[in-house]
Amino acid sequence: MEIIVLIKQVPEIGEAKIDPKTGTLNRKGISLTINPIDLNAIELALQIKEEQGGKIRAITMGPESAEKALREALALGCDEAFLLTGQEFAASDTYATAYALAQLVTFLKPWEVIITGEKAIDGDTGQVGPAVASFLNIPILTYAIQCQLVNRCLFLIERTIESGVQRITLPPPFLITVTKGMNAPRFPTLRGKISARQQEIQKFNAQSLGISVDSIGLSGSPTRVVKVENFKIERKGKILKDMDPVLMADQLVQFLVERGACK
Amino acid sequence: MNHHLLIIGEIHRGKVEPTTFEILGAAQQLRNKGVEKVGVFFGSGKINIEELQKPLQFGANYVYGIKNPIFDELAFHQSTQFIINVIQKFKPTIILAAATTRGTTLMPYLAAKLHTGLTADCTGFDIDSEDGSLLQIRPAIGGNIMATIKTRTFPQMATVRPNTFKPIQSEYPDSTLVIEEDNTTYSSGFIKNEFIEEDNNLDIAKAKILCSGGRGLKNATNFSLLEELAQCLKGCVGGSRVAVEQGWTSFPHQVGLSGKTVSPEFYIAFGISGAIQHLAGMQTSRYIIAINRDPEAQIFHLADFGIVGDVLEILPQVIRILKQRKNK
Repeated sequence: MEIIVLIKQVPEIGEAKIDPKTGTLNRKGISLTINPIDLNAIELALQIKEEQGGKIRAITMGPESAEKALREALALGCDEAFLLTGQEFAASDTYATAYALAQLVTFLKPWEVIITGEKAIDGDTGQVGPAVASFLNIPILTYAIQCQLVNRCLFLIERTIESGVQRITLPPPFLITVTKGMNAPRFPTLRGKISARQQEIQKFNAQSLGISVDSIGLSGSPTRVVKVENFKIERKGKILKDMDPVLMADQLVQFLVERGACK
Repeated sequence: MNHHLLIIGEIHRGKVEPTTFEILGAAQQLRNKGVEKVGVFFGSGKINIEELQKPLQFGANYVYGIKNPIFDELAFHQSTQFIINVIQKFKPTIILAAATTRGTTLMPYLAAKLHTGLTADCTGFDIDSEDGSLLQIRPAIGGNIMATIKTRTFPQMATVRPNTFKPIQSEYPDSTLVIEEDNTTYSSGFIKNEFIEEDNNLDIAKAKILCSGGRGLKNATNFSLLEELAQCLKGCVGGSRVAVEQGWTSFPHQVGLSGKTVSPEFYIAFGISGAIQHLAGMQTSRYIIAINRDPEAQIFHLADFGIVGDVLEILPQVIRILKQRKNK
């Protein structure tokens, strides 16, 4: 099975604190890491490979420093890593990012399955996966909670939807976005880490892929962020303390009742 | 600019979903700013006239339905083509859909095909008074920043966060409803496609009241008290990442950036200190109630009502008082 995993390098938000003055994320000293849900994508790829054999190629788009995320992917067991990098890609929105990634994925043909995380914790849009599938003209299966091989050429995939679960059997090619609950990502082994250090990361830019610079970066992005406002959420609510727990519980119920929660 | 706004409506088991009416509410707010025409498209094998007339009472100028089961297959790579045909027919300048699992999959697939931009999960809209373009407002970076986004291509597309807008009743003269029956059988490309319905109560994103718990509840037995509370309030149970990692509840119940974003009427948080990812996932709730031992807990900054105290003391008391009220 030829698998491609799309990953993204993101700031480790778990370490972050909100700056009490500005209400924004304090990015100082935050390390960069693989988007947590992309680790579930890598884990799924590894499990398919363990069952079927084949090759896993991890790709990402980002600054040179995104190489670190690819080395983490290699350490986990991905076979090859590809970095799409260059100033020309800077400020790409989800459309331009998906377009660029789709060009690299097309260049890497043949493949059968493309796996990625449901969304990145920094951008939080979940749009790149479906858009890549659209550019490649292949089926898209989002919010997957299960993915297993029925036989060599059929997959059974379960995805969560509002009304329950959709269970689909289909052949490759397709792009699947996975959720956090799908599996428990493994940790890299020491051996994996050491060999990842020596592996080559293949780098591409717009020119080497034959992408026009007008279709990527800021000029290729149909959307523009025109305003960013600090959104300091502060609700000056009533906070009770140092009271009898029963009295406090009673006031809580009153708060609910007065606002119509106990109809 | 005179906008023509098309909503990609959702229909489930023949019923129009609440999110469709919510987006109609968002569209109504833009009426006097340049949105002249509002339409709703539905595609489903289970379409009936009575149900499809409802959007006309909430500000739609027209409803257009295609009756064919291919839309119910959720095979987006196939249904996208039909929707492109609809878009070419009506030529909207704005397309909105709900940020549900369906909308967030279909819309990026569609936008890429239409070579246009898409903004995810918007919580506000406006029209730029200078150039007339749609201003799309969404929380970013953990919800502590509100970003306003413009699209320089057409149509301007966005998904709309559920539970954010309220439907507004209004009817327009000459509103129309057209349903086309397409009896062709289209292939989804899936070998098998089954739907397993699950109790809707489990969907925390739809809950009006969410009783949520975290580390402070200490163990699964204490956590299960939330079930009891949720029953009293006819709500759902949610959990922080810790609660899911500890196995006190399952992943579909996780609130936060790596779980689900929720916006219920009442969010009641027991023993949740309020990590940034958690707060980002629930801060648009109408009323936030927090109970925590630590007076410095971040969640108190968001609370409309808070109790500094031992959740293991407070929670059973709240349940007791609610039950007493009911028995009266």
